[in-house]
Amino acid sequence: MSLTPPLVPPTARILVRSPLLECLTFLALLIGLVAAASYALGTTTALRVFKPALGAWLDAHQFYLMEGGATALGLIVGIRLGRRLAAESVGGRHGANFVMILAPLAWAPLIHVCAAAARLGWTLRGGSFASWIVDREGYEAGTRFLRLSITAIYFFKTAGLAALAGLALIAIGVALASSHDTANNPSAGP
Amino acid sequence: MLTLRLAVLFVHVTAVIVALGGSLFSTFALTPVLAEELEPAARLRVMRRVIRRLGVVVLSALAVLIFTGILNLLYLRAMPIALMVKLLLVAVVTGLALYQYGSVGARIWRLSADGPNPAIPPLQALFRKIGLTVGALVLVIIYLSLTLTRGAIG
Repeated sequence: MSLTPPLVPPTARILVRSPLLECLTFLALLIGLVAAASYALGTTTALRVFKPALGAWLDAHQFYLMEGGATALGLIVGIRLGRRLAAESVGGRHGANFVMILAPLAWAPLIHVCAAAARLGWTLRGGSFASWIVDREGYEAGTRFLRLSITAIYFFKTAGLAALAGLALIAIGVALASSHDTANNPSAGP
Repeated sequence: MLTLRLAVLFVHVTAVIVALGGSLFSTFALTPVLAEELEPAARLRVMRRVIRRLGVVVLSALAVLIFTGILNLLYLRAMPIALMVKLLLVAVVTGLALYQYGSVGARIWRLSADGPNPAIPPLQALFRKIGLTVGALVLVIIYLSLTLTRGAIG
């Protein structure tokens, strides 16, 4: 038995692992990346040959699935990062309840807003890059690579903006937890 | 004339003023005066409540800042490099503020419930250090915002 005192004070709140958030992260990543890859590589054309109905459905929805997956991934990553940073306020099992209620409500409008903002151009030399890659790899491979890179950049820009929104949700959660603590314990101390 | 764009921008700028102004007032006006005028025990009682209340104000303002900032992006026509740096800095500032109020501030709040404690002064120093870093980064963000909106003039 160790005689050294614990480093963490007994009153401290420890970050509790959330299997739900871990599961959702994996699910959002899977859906978003599969949809993004499918959109970039045009796999629905092949799918239409074997399963016409599924191919048609995926063709119509894959872009929305990609945007939704990217937004969900960013939102969850932001929430997980924020929970870790503010572990003493919202790291407990019940600490982030408000955020977990608000996040699904914010998700649908955020898909449109983050995706629209992610469509803004870089104002870098996009045209030069396109010419360079087509010149280097040939038209077929070059245009495919270009489409893949544009889709990947779009995916990660959407996820990045949603991650900021996730951090904002945690900020609201911490503010609410602080208000609650202050109201319940307004004049503690000697 | 009130347009949605102007309303969003107004709320965005107001949130910056609230977040930065509150932190500056606490760091450069309130804390030195409390240190000079109050006994340690009373000072701690006041400071713990100030930190808690300020956390609510600053974090709420940061949340408003992010949501209105994302909405503001919709009115732009491009995403220049300065904007990407600004967004990255906003993420860093939000993370630091969450750590400052959600972890360090919360620990100060809990430890100080029973009066002075030797573990509190280092936490207060860390709290102040993070606050100054956040303030400096916010100033950089404001400068980048000005280069985005006023850079073409002159």
